[in-house]
Amino acid sequence: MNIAVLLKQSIDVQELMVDPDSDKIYLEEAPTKPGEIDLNAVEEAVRIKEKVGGKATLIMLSTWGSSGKRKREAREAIKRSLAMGLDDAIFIFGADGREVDTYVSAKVIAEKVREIEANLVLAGEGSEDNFTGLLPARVAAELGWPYVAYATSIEVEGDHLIVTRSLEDYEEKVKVKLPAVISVTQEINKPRIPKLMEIVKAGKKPVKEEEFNKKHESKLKIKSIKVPKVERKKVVIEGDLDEVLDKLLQALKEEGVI
Amino acid sequence: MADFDVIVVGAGPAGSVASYLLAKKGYTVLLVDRGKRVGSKNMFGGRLYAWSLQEVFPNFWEEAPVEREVKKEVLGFISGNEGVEVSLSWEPQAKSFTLLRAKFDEWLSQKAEDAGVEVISGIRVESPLIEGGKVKGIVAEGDERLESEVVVAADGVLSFMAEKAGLRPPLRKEDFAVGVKEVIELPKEKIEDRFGLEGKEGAAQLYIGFTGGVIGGGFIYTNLNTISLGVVARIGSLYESLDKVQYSMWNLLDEFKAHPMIRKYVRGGKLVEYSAHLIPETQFLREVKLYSDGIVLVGDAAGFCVNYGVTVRGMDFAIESAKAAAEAIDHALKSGGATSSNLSKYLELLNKGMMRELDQAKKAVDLMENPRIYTSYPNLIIKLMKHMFHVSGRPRKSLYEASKEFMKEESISLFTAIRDIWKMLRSL
Repeated sequence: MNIAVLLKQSIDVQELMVDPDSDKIYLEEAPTKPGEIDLNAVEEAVRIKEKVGGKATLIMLSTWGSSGKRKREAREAIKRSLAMGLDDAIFIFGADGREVDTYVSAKVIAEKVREIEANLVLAGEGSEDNFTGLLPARVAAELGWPYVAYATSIEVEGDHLIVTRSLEDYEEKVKVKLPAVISVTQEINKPRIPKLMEIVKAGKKPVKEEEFNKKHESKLKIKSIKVPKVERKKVVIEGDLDEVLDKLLQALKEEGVI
Repeated sequence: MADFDVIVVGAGPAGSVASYLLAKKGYTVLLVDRGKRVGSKNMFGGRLYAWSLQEVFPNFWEEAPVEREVKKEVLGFISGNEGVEVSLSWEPQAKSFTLLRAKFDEWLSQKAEDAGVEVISGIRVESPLIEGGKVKGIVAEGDERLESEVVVAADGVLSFMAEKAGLRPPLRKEDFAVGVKEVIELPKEKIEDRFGLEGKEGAAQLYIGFTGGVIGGGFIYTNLNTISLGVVARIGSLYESLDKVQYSMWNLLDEFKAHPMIRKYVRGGKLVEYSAHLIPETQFLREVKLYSDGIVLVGDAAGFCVNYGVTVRGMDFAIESAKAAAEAIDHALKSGGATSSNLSKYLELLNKGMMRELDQAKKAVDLMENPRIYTSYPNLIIKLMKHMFHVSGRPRKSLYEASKEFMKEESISLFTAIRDIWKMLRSL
């Protein structure tokens, strides 16, 4: 098995700062980190490799700008994934955030998948920041491979995979012939936390750093990113307790809350 | 065969500098930090005196993420709603800078990494690995054991490494002061106008008199487009005052920030960060053993910090101790191993250098224990100034007469005042 795992550095939403006055979102200042579900894909790749042998390569395309900070964060994330047990990594850096939508990402990534002659692509079902969930499907389309989404377990049977998909009302088992693209959900496994020495050793695994190639043009232009506004009613209810309660209940009823 | 020559626990300034120097000497060094990102858990007041780091990285301020060079010092006395500020604008020969630790510490650890140090963050070290009474390495989370010739404990004020290696007593509240700090964002031009600064000049302002007798004070440091504002207080002193006034640190900070003299500096600013930190007291040093077989303590972990009541110096001493530790470790490893006797070079180097300043500082610390500094004297200074500027069209008492009266009001005898001034002149 020759696996390509896709990992995206997402904005760490918990550390995202917003200026309430101007609605400015401090995207550049916010740190990035690997998406949680992407780490499930990494873990699954390592598990499959441990069972049936082969090789697993990380492919990362940096999409949140090309500052030194972003590079450090990405390298750190790559090191952690390698420490989890992947063999090597391809790191494509230098894209301005606006240059990369899922269309461009899929083209760039598919090219790398072909280059390393992988026969299985694993990815998270969606990234942690944008969560379009489009990328794995687009990569499959670029490659002309079958695509199975939302996997909760993957078993290897010769040159086939038995993939369990957990859907809202039922569970589906799909048999798919390799090569294929699979997106995984968070339920599929629990990503291992690498040990200190594994992280140290991961620093010596090969990482191929490539410059982002601007030959594909993004189809989607982001015009603005804003914070959803919640307008307060700003109603003050005064009076003694019973009065206040009555008025409050009345107001809540009028608003259709109760 | 050990995994590394040296394992350094904690990527603050002491840890990064020690790692850097040892890697430069050719040793294999692992630097472990528990913060998700290096520097993310580190905190201080806001000012670094450059002397110790300058020897490691000459003119580091040209490259490092420092905010402003301090060229204005303000000492402020507060009483009630009134206050006096004494200001010095100067060109100090010994430079100092305001900075924000998250950025600065990341830069320092990057220096270490560039020198070949393995820097790993997000991993907690549980304890030293102790065999036969000697430190042989570390135990990281998940019971992972890593061996090294020597361990440098740079894990800060609460150093569990030092405690678990038996080098210092368990924590007691008397051994610490506490600092709380807010980082407040303001446009660069506003900061420069309000503090009377030009370009990259910075101000360092210290205030006493608003703590209700608690040993402590307030500080303001100007960064490029933020202000670090905070309060430091002795924990012991806070406890003693609990029955008289209900002071919590956040209370003190709010009061400080709301004072008419202070609020003008921060008006319209936006709170972008708040944090709190413990500060080791200098007298605590006497009970700390600085090294033992296979382990050396540096920085706050060793208690290398001076709390002058209103201002705290720790970062420059931390860096200086890291330099001495690196030299001592190099000496020990070249002389057959990191035994306690080989590592005694560390104390020898410290005694020749910064310990002399630390000893001197202890006198100032004793002086700052005088409660009159935090109540009576600020009151007295303000009353005298008010008397001087009071114009009502009627004759007034001479300054001498007035001083006598004010001293009486503050229950300071002439004898006490002379003694206090004498002590101040001798110890500062």
